[in-house]
Amino acid sequence: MNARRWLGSVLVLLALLGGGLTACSKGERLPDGDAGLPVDPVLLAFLSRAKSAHHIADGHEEAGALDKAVEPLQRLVDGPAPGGGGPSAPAEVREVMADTLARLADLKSQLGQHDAASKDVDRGLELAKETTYFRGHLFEVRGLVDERLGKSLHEKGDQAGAEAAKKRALDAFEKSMAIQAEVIERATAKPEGAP
Amino acid sequence: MTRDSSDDLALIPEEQEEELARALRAAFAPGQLDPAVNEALIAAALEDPLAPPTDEEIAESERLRDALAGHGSHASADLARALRAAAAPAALRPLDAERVASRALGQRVSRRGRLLVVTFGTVTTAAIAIAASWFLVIAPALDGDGGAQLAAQAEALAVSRSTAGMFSEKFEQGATTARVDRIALARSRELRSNRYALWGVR
Repeated sequence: MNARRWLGSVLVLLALLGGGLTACSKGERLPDGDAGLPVDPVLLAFLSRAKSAHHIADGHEEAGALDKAVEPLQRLVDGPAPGGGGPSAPAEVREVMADTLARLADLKSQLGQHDAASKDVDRGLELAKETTYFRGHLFEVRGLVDERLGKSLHEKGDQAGAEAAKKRALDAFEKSMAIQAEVIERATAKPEGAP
Repeated sequence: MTRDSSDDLALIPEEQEEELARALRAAFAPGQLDPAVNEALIAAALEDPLAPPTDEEIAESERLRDALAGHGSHASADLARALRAAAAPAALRPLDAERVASRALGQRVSRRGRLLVVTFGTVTTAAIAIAASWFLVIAPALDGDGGAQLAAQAEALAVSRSTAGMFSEKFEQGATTARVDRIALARSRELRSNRYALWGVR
């Protein structure tokens, strides 16, 4: 590789990075599916961290230690992430965070931490706003969370609260089904002009 | 050996290289001299250390002083310069370095090679080179073929984007780890591709 090419490569990266920073500084977010910054080591570091966190959680979950399974996942969603891990983070980061929050919500719900579980679902939905399986899955988990809450309230004799939770669960499941159907329809739709 | 004669430098025979290397190492980082050897050397050089100098010694010392000051020549002055150069070598001028290298390699060092050496030599130089190149090379290049090449290079890079397209079925409960594994694997491959693209490897 000659010096000019090397220099060009560096400048391409700098230019793309500069463009990304400019976009971020203006508070813009690239639409889902649109081109973002080049895949870089920082993104990979986050994904690698996420992968490790889920595998650690698997080990604890298989051993029946749900409370221990929560810990590495909580560290992941509260730890450092490209773009701050918020709505302006790269798409992969937002989606992995959303999926992790869905798992966290499920675990916490099984542990009886219904409020915390509900908050995790809300946080995940803020990250997965597009119509994708990620969003659909979050509504599905919301349904499970409310279903478990309803059973818990029923056992405690709070029938009104139990009924309300049961209704919210059904709504969430319906919403999940609608999103999944839309994703399937879009994925199987023929492109314009196709025979 | 003087700098003025660098144009006439000749490569020494290979069999002398090792001897020269040993001599340079000894001058640059001399080892301990055995005290007995030291005494013997002094005794051999000076029959009577306190005796007054002879006329011959005075004449030789004046000739050596003049040679060290740059007037005339003296074998001991050449030796002194050689020892000084070995013990505290001065930086080679770029052209000297190139000349020596080209003779040793049997070919002329290209300008591109020198540019690479300079560019990678220090971080500071690289930073300055990038900044200067923006104005001197890149900006003009953007109007020509260079710009198209840069654009094509940028286009070849895999970018961050939604992973939704990787999944064709509804998410199964309890399969989060498998999904994260799949995403990480896909993006790690793309990072590798990006590196190759930036290195100019297709």
